[in-house]
Amino acid sequence: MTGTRKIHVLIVDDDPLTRLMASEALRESGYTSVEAEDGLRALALFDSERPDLVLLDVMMPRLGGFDVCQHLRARPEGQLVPIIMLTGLDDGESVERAFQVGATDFISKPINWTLLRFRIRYVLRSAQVMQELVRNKESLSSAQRIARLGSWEWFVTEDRVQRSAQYYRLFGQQPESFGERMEAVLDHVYKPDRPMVQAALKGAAKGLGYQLTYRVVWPDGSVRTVLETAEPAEGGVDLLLEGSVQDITEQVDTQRRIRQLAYFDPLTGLPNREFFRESLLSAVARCLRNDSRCAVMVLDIDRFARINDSLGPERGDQVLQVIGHRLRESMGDRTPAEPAGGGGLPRLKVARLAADEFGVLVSDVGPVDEVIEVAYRLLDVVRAPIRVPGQEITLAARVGVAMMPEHATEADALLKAAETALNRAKRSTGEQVALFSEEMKVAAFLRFTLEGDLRRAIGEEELQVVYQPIVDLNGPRIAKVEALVRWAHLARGTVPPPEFISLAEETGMIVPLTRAVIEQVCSDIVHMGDALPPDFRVSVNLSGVNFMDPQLIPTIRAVLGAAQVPPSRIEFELTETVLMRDLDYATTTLAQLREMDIRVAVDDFGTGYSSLAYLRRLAVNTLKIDRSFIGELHDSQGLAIVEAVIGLARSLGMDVVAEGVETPAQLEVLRERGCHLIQGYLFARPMSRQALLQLLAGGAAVLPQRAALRPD
Amino acid sequence: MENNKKMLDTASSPLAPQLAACGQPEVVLDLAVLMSLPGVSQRRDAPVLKRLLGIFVVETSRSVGLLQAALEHGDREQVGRLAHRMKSSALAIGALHLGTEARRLDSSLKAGSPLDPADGGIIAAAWRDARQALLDEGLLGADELRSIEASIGS
Repeated sequence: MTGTRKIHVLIVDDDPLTRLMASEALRESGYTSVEAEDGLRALALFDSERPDLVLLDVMMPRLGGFDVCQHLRARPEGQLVPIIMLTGLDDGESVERAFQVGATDFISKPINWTLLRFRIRYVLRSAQVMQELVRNKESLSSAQRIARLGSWEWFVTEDRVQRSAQYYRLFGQQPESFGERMEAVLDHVYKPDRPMVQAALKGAAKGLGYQLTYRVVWPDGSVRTVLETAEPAEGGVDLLLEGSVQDITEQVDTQRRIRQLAYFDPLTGLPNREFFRESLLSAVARCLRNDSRCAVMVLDIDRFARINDSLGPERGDQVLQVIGHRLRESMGDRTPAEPAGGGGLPRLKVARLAADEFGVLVSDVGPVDEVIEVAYRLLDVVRAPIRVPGQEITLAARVGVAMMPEHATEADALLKAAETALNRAKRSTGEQVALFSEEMKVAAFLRFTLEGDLRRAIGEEELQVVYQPIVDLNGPRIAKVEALVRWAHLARGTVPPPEFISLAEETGMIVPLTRAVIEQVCSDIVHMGDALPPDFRVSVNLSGVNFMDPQLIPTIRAVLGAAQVPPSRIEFELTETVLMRDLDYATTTLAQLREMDIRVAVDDFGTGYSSLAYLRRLAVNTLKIDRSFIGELHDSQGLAIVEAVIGLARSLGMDVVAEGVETPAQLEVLRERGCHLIQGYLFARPMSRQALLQLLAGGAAVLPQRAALRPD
Repeated sequence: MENNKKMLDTASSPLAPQLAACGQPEVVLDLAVLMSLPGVSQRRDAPVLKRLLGIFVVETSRSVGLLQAALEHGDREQVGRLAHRMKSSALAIGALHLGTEARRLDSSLKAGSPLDPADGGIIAAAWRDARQALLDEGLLGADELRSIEASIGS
């Protein structure tokens, strides 16, 4: 019945005169028509022509008008089509019958054609309204189906409920099996949610609306989440409530996934740092309210990077999963990772804060001793051997502890305090558990200010490069020097190198710092010029951060190029841990350095887990025996290690340098074992460029402990 | 009279009310009705008018013959059906007298009255009048009428 298509009318009458007149009348009104002379023909034409309206005579041979009307109404497409019956003028019986069989209207014969035209317009208009109504109802129903929205009406007084078809579908039920009364819904509600729904219905029976999220159980046992809204209907004498139910399972799942991603560590399934912080916030608020205490512990696994390096990151991940699980078990943290129905944050106990750092929150704690005891229990948990395919590994950890209200009364400060305590524990050799103290707070503050100071000091006079000679006993002569950086802090005096180097590594400042050192070294080499022996090298330390810096090689080229210092004057020292972290990368980078004629020494050799096979693969020229082994030379085991390293270096065709040589006895042992490159206070402390120049000018004669330098 | 009123209300003939009020017999052919039929629009030369009248003549002359035969045979049902049909078409076309007679017959049969063989003559006479009126008005030519009637073998 659109504006573009003409209204098409089916005329059904056995009288050709009436048909002709009717079709003329319709043509005059701008309609098209098709004629049927009997009932059977009418049905056939209806199906093929799909008319917008039917003019239907009552008295016809074969199939009468009433039967035709009934047949049309029985067709889906005939339910709404307007049917006007042509009845006898004085035939009240026919009019009544026409109404019963579903005719839309009637007009009596002889037909008043003017009246018929008007009647057709009226009938078409109401048919259109009717069809729109039906379409709206259909689109509403399909919208409800798409939105998985079911609706109900509850006539409270009679406890009669009208539920939409979609409503039943939301429960996976058929209308027959659902139950009649309002309370019937409870049978389909997930048991733990029943009291909540029941209470809501109780209120609703008194006319109180509600909005409720609850879970329903389908006949197949699956559980879905729905959102129900109910409110009393306006007007009316008896209480009527209207409600809608929507399936929000997907939304809830999505929210849960988002939460999972935002708040949980995908590797261990533990809450992440953000979740830990938020839990801490509410825990702190609770403590303040209840005047109770809580503690935060931060646990860090010792040298975890080494696990990744030696066993591969996959095994490392497995180890972290095991540790996470154990910590949770140990703390009795059995709350599910996420409560099924959403809701608030569970009372978290263990979280993963960073790569190998776990946070533990202990609420309502007793005295400090108790907390420390818990910390040691956690250490035991970490220490228990972990079986990975092929071997069993044993880990150690450090714990930093901070308590509220003693150390902080605010969540972030409390966590920071625990981390400060952890850093202390990590820096000390023996202490595995450190309790935060005021002194640490001061130190932490100093460290913070130090960071700013260091940033400023890089490239300035405050940072000085000094040189410690490495003496070749076969000369004797100074074979090379190790460049070391010293910080003469304007206000604090000398800052110990381990302190500011680790600070620089943590903050990334090590990159500009190292560049500044290389620049200074180059400048000094240029200054010393011909005073340097031909094969003399200056050794510069590179940290792991430097080594992994993609700009490392370009930077070296640029700095050496700018200062016009030949690369053959330079040696870099790297710890074996750094080299072993990513062997492919190390192999490539060392090959590039070798190509430039820069030598590489492995620093602190023996403390890491070098694989001999890899050591051979890498373009390494020198092994430096760690000072800790030199200090144990008097011990047979210490001696054995040093002998092994010397033997290894010799077999791989590498030089070997002994660091930290302080006594003639140590020197003697080393010399006897064939180690002739010696670094240590025995010969020289780190010195300025000027002092080095003097020493070089004076030759071996200037070296102290001359007696020790007797040639063999 | 009651029936007449009803008919006049819907037949919308300008003459009919006065005639009915005077108690005079209905006009044989109400031209106002005929000329107001759909597609005619007061035009005597409207092609639809020719077709309408052609159909009317064919249908009516056949019905009149059948009705007389049915009366002779005492076929009450057939008489009723034919009278009903004739009533409709005659009134629709404006042949008021024929229509009224057909309706009277239809109604009396519905009311249970016995068949009256005299009705055959009354209906036939009314049809003759109507037929003559069409000729008189020049709406149908004599030859035209004869050829139509010949085609149906009446």
